Amino acid sequence: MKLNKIALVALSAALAFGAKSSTAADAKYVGYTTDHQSLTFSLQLATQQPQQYNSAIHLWTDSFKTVKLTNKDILALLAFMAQTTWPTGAQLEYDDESSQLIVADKTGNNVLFYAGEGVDNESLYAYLRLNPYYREGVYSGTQQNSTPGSENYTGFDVGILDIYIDDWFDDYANYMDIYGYGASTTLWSESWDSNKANGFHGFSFSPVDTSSGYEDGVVSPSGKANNYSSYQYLTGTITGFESWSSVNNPSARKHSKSPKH
Amino acid sequence: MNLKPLTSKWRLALVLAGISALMTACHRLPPPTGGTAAVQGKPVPLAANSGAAPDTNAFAAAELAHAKYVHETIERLVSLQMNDDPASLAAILAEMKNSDKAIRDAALKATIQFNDRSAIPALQKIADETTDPYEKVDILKAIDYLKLPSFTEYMAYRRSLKAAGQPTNAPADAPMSATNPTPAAVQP
Repeated sequence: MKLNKIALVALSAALAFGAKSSTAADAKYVGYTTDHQSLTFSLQLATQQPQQYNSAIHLWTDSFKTVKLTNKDILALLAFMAQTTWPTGAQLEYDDESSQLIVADKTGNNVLFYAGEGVDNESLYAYLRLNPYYREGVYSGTQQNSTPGSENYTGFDVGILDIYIDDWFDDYANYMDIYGYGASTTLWSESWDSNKANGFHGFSFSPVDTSSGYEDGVVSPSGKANNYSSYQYLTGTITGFESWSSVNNPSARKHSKSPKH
Repeated sequence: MNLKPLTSKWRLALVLAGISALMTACHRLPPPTGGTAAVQGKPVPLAANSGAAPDTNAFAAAELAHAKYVHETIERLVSLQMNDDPASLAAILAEMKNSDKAIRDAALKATIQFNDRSAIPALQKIADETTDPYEKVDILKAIDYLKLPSFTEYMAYRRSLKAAGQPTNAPADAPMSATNPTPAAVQP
């Protein structure tokens, strides 16, 4: 375990045993992790717009509109899923222990929401599944199993991003169905000697999706909107990153996990 | 040969290298900054090798001290990007003029994640002043991205339409209606 994470474990234990913190007092933790990558979402989602018709010149016009999805948008989306608000400093992480996207508190270690597991109740079925290692591809690198030693790998995998919200409780006002595959480059590097181990790992995943969304189409004479599918196009990048610098014995180093976990 | 200044320099270098190595060991390496993460996250070499020449150690110490500064600045930017106040945005934009490219890259990514279109004029000004053509393109791309409505804004708009009984979208195969007056069968 990394030194800074040991400190966080101690801090969390202190909080659990009564130390006051506004975040800790308000937040409901559903888990704990010491092995996670910080996530950065920079995505764009284009949605097909209603076809326009100019009857004077018999012209049909098709168009789409694009929106951006950053971490704040994903956090807002997950807050809707969890039907809650996140405490200040809440962050998105890929939890290498449970292999899913999580919302963690500002320490990064206390889990507020397991997005991969999501929500499944009488009024809402929703999840956000992220797996940058969905299908493993080729990889290259070296491993020097000695002390001092090092390990460096780059892998080329296929990742998956799956966002689904079926919100019948509010008449599908937030309905969503995004299912993107794409190239995922994974990095792993660590070096160690008899006293220390420094390293990092991460990924850069570019999901693409052309699946159909679910939009309100046309308002019927009764005033009720009908639901129709409309095309979407998702592009952009999701990156994950974790680094460490510890004084652990090399036998405790994480390299045994390797990039091909 | 006067050995005294050299000895003092040697001691200073050792002390600096030791302090830097200790600080480095107790801190995480730089956080993610997209495609350049591998470069920024490269493990910092251990500094206090007693066999190295004094000048080498002094250089290593300075390098480690700078790595620590870069790391702390980037961590601060990552923290600021999740805020919503003008002061945080100003602090992020101020780092766009940092002499360290890794920090400027992180500041640009933090600006994108801050997700506030009020940053666009300042970014445009910085882009105009930037001589590095690649950096200029990155800034201009960030401006284009910031100009887009956010997904959160889009969803709020969609909900407002739905609450008002308006269609949020009407695909090409929608039946005839006031907004789509021709049946799908005759559409091109």
